[in-house]
Amino acid sequence: MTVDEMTTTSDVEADVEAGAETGAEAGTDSRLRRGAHWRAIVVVGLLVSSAALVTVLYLTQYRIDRQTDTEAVDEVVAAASSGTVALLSYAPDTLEADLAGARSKMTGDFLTYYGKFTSDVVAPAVQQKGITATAQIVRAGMMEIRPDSAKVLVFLNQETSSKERPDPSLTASSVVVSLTKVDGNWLISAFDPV
Amino acid sequence: MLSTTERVGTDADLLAEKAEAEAAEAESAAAAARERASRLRQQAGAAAADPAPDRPRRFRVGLSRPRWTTVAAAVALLCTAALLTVGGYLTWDHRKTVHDERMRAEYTAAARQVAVSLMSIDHNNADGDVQRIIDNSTGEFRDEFAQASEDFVKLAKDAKVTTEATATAAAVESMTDDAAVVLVTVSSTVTDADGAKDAPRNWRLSVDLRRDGDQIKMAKVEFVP
Repeated sequence: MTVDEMTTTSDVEADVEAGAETGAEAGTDSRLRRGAHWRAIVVVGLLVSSAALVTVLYLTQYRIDRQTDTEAVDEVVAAASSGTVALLSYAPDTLEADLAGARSKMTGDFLTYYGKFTSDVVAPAVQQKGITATAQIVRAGMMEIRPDSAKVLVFLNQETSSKERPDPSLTASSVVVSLTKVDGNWLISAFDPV
Repeated sequence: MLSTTERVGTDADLLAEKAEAEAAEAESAAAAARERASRLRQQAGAAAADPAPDRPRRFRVGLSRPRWTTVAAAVALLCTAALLTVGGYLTWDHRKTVHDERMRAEYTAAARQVAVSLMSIDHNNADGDVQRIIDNSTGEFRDEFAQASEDFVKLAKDAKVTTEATATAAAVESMTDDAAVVLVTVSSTVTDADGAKDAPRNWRLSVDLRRDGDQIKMAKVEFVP
């Protein structure tokens, strides 16, 4: 081997070494950059998927559950109770207001039926016989509740007196009150004594 | 003619000359190599120095980039953790709702069943009927009923009556995980010894239920006037 050859060889080696060095540097750099890239994807992916999860849970469960929770139950039972009282309490002097008040707590076919029944039967009888009725809720409980419909069992006592019988008579009864949610308000859609 | 010695001397001279020439050649090659090496070193130095104006920029970017992305990643991960916490709460809340719904159905069914068993007495099977009531009771109510059971059985046997009861409606007034107050309406028909039936009577019951092991039992029963 000549010296010249040696020089050339070491030259090449140096070049190769230098090349390998810059190559390794570039490799580490791009690997780092690729790693950061993947980390960013994972972090953003986690954020997006957890946001999607919360949105789905909120829309499909939480929002619907709120419509049947304890507060909703109390609201429905209160609506059924006040509706029942309004329905079964009237006096000759305040009849129009009493019936109008009762009608405002009803909906659907039951509202139609009640309107007809009160104007055809109840109103004339109340006026003629001077009937005064007062209903009291004794106990009430929730039978079933869905986001837009519910059934409440109401134990009630109704006191009735008339011109002929001024001594009030007490009638105890139980009623299954069906309610429907209309524009956010629970209204009576059926009234079935049991 | 050269003597052998002379010839050898000449040969040696020649060799020495040749060696000298080779040495000179090697020296110049070495010089060239040194020159090359220094040129390369200069190049390398230039290469190192050349991107020098770039370096600080790259360095600055390299330093500030991790800082920016680290903050962004930390914020994103915190948001993710917060969202997952909210998700956990939503899941817990939903399970509670489902649990409450199932519990309401469970209490309602139990109240219907105990109310019917309490109000149904067949004089042919009075002992069994009364035992069933005791089995479905708990607490003070159970003790009281157990004490009165003998009289109760005797009465039913003597009167030879059979009472058939059906629960017409039931509703939960209040409930917790291990107790509930359920309203039940019961319709009962009494058949006497001659097989004559009375008109059905409606009863309003308030049934206090309590969990006793894995069973729901009545802790108190009250007729609502």
